[in-house]
Amino acid sequence: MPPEDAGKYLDPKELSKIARLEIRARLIVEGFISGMHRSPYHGASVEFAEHREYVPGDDIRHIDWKVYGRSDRYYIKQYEEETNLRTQILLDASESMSFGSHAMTKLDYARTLAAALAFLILKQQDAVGALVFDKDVRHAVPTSSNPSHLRNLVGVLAAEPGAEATDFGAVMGGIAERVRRKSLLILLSDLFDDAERIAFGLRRLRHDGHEIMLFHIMDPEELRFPFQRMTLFEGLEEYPELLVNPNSLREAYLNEVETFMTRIRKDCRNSLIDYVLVDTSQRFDSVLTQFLGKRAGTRR
Amino acid sequence: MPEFINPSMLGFLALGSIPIIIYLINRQHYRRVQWAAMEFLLRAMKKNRRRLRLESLLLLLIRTCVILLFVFGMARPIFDDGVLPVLGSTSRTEAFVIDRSYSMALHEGTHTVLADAVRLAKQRMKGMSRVDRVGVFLAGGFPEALFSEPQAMTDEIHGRIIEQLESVPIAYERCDVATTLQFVAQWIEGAKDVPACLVHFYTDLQQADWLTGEGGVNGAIQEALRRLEEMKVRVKVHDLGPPRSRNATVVSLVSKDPVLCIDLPTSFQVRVENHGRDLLAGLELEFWINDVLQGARSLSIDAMGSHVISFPHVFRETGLARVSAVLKTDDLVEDNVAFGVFPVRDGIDVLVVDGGREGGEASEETAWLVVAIGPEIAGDSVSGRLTPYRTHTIAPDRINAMKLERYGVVVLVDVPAFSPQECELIEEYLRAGGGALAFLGERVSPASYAANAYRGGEGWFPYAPGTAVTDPRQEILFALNVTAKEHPAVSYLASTPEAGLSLVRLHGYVSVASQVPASAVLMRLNDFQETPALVERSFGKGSLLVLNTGADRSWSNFAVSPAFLCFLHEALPYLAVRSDVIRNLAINEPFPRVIPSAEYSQRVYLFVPDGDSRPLALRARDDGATFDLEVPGQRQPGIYEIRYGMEAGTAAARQEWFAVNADPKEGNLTRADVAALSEAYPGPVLGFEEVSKRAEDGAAAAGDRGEIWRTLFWAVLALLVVESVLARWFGAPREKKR
Repeated sequence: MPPEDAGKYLDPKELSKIARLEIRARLIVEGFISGMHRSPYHGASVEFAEHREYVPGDDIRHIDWKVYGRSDRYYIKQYEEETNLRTQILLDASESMSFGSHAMTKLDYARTLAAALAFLILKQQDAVGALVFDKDVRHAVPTSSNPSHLRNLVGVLAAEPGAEATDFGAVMGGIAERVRRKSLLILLSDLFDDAERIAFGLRRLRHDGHEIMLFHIMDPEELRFPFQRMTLFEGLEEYPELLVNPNSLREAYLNEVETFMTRIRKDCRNSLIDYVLVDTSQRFDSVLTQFLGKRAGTRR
Repeated sequence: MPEFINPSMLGFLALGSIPIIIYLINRQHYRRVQWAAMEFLLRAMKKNRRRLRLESLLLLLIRTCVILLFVFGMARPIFDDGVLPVLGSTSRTEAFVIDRSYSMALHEGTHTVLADAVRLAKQRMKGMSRVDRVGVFLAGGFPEALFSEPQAMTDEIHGRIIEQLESVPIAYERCDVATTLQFVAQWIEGAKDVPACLVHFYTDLQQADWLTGEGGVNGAIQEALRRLEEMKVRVKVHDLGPPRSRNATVVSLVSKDPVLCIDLPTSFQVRVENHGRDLLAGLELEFWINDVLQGARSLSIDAMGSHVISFPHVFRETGLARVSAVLKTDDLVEDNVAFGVFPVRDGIDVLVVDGGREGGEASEETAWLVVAIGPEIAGDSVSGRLTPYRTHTIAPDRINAMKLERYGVVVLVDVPAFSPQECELIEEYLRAGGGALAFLGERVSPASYAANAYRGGEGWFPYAPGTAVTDPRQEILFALNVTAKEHPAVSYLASTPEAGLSLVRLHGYVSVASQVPASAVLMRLNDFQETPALVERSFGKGSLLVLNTGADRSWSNFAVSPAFLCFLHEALPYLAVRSDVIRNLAINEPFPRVIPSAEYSQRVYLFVPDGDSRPLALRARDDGATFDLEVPGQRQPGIYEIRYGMEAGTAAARQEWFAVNADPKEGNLTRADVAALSEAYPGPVLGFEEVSKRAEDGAAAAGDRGEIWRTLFWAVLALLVVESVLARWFGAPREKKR
């Protein structure tokens, strides 16, 4: 592919013309991350790099007791990660994710993004798995670093969406049961659930030692509510219909969205969760940039 | 409850449902969207349901109100101060003058100008509040006031005014503007506590009513306006006049001959005038006598021109002839007809007292006079009549034996003297309405005339004759000059040079020793003293003409000049008919009759032209021999009939007629120029307002007070602004940092 065409497929509108998820992922990653050689991730299975003096808060498991024996001072061993980062991609495939006013539905966008991330991680020779959930975990693929694993991942990510509403409290519990080892959990969801339950579920995962990166997938219409004429809103996930004059309700709606997102952001901040708001009209490279930026920040 | 100037607009109040219908239609025509973020939407809805409903209802209410108020405003509601005190104002006095002269009956389309005036006045009255005071006047002839003093505009008074205005009768007289304004001024002056008054004058603004015949300032109007100005009264003239005057008027109907007699051809002359600036073509004029159509003529009259049409006729029966001329096809019918009642006689008996009669032979002078008065054509007693006169000649000593009242005219030809008894007879004859013509000649005895006929001014003769002035050599000749050129006895001589009065020369006459002040000099000699030559003395109901020269050739050539014939045939009818009952009257002119006891009737009825009748009463006079019959002035033109001795179901024993005619000058619709009027009557009192006939909705004429349409339209405007702001405020996303 010529370099000038590489970036073209970072636009959801262009990318939506390509049906196969695997190809989408490759196009995104090749268009954006080609040339990256050094993994930005570090995990438990590592190659020693250097020592640094212990400071309160450091994991005491990393104290080099041999050095302590020699110098009577605490030093922490630092490692250069190689291939053993474990990443689980958690994709919300509830009915609300099937909404989309742009080129892609939220689910379409999320699964494309997930596939691209998975491809990116596999390309870095890290292990990645996937869980697709709505009210419960519907599909799961165990983690693997085998490049051929991408096909399995894509197969699961492309599965049909469920018709159930999300129940974050319950589903996060289920995920915690399945993901025993500490992992980087990349959660892609519109978070249409009770904010309290979402916070509870996320805290539960954090409590288990997982790092979490939350991609909050929102459609531009959901963010802006641009309707003018009298509109009958047909609720997904068993919500009732509502006939309103959007002009008169716009402000109130946007307030509600703002309040919700503020609450989620706050909870994420408190739980040290990386929060990225994703507008489905956004180019994928900007999302990936944010992703890499967040990860780099975390490593430092 | 408010009243409405345009109540028909209220039907459009149904338009107030448009916003509701649009709202409901919008609710049916919506976009359908599948929506994921329903939680937020429902939560927003739950929190804002009441606000949204209120906003929606508020906007709906405002939009509905905008339409309702607009329609309400268009209907021009009128509230009085009691209902809407905020919109009310202080009490005012307004006077409404409606010109009801018959020119206002001009048809413009389906309605008359008067109807327009009444409608506009009523509309303005609707704008008055209960605390306002009102006066209503009807102009046309002598003005009338509906109320003797200003009345508070209560519902009752308003109702009474409306009722009166609904049936304002046409006045067949001119609108006397000066008298009307003086009348209004007097009314205001007589009222208490009228600090300022506005007078609305609804009129067709006829030039003849406002300016003099030459288009000058009418001093009487000027004076009335000055008086009103002192009283701080403003007069607003609502000009309802037609833009172009187009009307023909039957101005007069007269008989050519002053005396109508059977078997004598006569003619009636009808004068029709066109006061407009357009040619009037194809007018049809009908001529009726005693309800029988005698003929019709088609005529065209040039702009500002007139036409006189003659209708010849020969009467075969005596009595009162009821004549009318009717013009067809005209927009103003009130001036299209003229009526007349003319007495038709079998002849006029003339008694000639021949002062020179000797031994049964008439003098040459008298014989000449008799021929001049009534020449007879032998052989045909009917068609051969040339004049209505039948002469009977007597010697002076027979006067006492004659019943003078049988004669229409008594001609005294150079009678030398009168005895007291003769004078008494003549005085009685004249007092009863007789006419006499006296020629003075050389036989006249001045002493006898002064003693018995003149009697120092108490007698029937106009002056004491002096000595006879003669010039036998006929070297000094005098001419006759007419001094009373309008007098019917000499007007023809004065106006017609062909009559030859200028050729008449006198060399002998009887001088005038003294003259009573009541007498009138119709002709004078051209001597230094300008000696009275023809003198008229009214005596009782009768009249006497005295010419101070003879009726033969001894003192002048008058008798052999054409002027003599002309003089006789003007003076004799004048004397014969001047005591006739005047039967052709103007509007509001009474018809007084003296009924001799021999003709007394217990029942007397007046039949008006529309067929209605009303009883009349005879009142005994002081003389015990006659009765007064007072027939008041009539307001409607036409021929009126008086029936005497009429019992129920029986024919009248006797009947007579009189005619009443409208003032033809009112038919001149020429409208006064407002600019000229403003110039003629400057000052703050008089203001003019041209009323648009197209303003059928009454908008132009409605009063301001009590009306709230302006307030309503401002409210509509304000509501539109509020609606726009609120709709934007409610609907648009508010600028807020998120």
